[in-house]
Amino acid sequence: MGGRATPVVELTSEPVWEAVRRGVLLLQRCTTGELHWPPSGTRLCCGHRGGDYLESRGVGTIWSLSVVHRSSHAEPATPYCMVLVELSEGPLVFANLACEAEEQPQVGDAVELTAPVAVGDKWLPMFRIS
Amino acid sequence: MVTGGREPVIVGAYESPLRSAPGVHPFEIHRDVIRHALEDAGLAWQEVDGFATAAGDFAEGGAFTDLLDVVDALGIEPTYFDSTDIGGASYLAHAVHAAEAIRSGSAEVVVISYAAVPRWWPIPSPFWDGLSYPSGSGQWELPYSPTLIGSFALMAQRHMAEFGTTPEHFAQIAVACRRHAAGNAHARFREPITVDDVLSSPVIASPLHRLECCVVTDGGGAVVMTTAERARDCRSAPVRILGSGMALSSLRLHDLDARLVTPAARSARRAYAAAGLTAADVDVAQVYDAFTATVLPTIEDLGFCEKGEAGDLIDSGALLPGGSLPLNTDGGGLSSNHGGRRGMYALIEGVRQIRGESPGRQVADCEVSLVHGIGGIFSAGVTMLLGPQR
Repeated sequence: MGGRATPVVELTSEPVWEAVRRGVLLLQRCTTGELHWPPSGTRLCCGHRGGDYLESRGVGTIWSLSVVHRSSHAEPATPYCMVLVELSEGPLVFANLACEAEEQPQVGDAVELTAPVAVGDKWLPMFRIS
Repeated sequence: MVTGGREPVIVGAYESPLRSAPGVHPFEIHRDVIRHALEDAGLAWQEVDGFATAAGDFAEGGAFTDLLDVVDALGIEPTYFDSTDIGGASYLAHAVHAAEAIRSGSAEVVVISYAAVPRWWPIPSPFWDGLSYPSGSGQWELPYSPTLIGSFALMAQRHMAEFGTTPEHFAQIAVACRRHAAGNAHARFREPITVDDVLSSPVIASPLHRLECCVVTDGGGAVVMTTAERARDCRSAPVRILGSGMALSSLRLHDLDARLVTPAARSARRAYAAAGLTAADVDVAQVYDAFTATVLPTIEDLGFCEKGEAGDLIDSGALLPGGSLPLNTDGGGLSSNHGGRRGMYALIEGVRQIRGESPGRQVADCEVSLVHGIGGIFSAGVTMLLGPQR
């Protein structure tokens, strides 16, 4: 088996995947005003499928990271960087950081959305150090 | 405290000495550990009416066993059963559930049994590394190829940034477990290691090194529980469950910030309250050590120190043999054995410490033995406090 795991896209997540294709990250905004990533139509905090989407500015800081040297996944090639980005809007986003080893990313570094990578017929949001 | 009647107690415990079992099917391991645990209790199979095993333990050919497979293989027909699967803490959840079933009269004698052969049949699958499928919120995480150790590494890295914890603090956990393992004839690794050894071993997922990862072993274990009344006729000294607590949270990484204080805080609070005890009363602790990074935040959340101060506690030597908080006295997953769901082995060592049956590593005057299991990525926490029956 090769490549990255292909996302199983559900009805409610389709518009969010479409936005990524345009280079935009859509956060879910519940009727309570809370912002969530990833989007989910079934969170109990709202009590119903309410709310709308907020276009994220796509910038934030590294909440945590790990450079993976050993992995059973076919892609990406090691070493690669698992990252949790704290968006300026608040939510945490798990992603990969596109960076060279010599950049030595640290917790607290400013990051921004960069060109998404293809996975199946979808595009995957990626971050880079800004 | 009144004891007796339907109070649930642990009357049998057996851990397979196996660490590598090529060609041995998990069903055979189940049969053997159950037979030994019942012999330990002095009970016959015919007296057992309850059975628990997790869904998804590693079998031959990369397959998984579940409750119905095992029930079929053993030829049993229980009237109480449980196959809760919350990862590594599953077998502790089974024990908590069984205790309530026994107390309420839903079961008389419950056997909880674990067997897995991940060393014979390594599971190098992306499914296992990501712990789930790319559906639901996983569709936004699995495509990024998270690894199991990398996921815990995210917590370790954040802990270091937030609280000033160092790689040396994490490494000392592996060193302490190995020190304890020296006293366990069955431990996978027993030769002493140093902090330098740990930090000079290859980085698997920064900041964590190879020697901060658990061993992978074949094997299994079983415990037998019944009422205190019935235990009077048992062969072994019954072990009481002084208190227990469970807590569940998310498996995903996008809300790891909400688990900077892990579910252990909630499960331990409930366990201490039920037992009328505090962390200061604990004589010995078995804390789930898939990686050094599973232990460090957890000992804070179990109340052994304030949040963020595990480094100081570790520097004090508390976790070492003779320390104030001997940790993972059998060597833990880091040195003794780990088959994917280590909760069973932690429980058995916790029981042995109360029974005074941990030769080479016995904690003197052991009155309160804490066992804590973790499932998923700090997703589940189950805390049990064990003690002798008076």
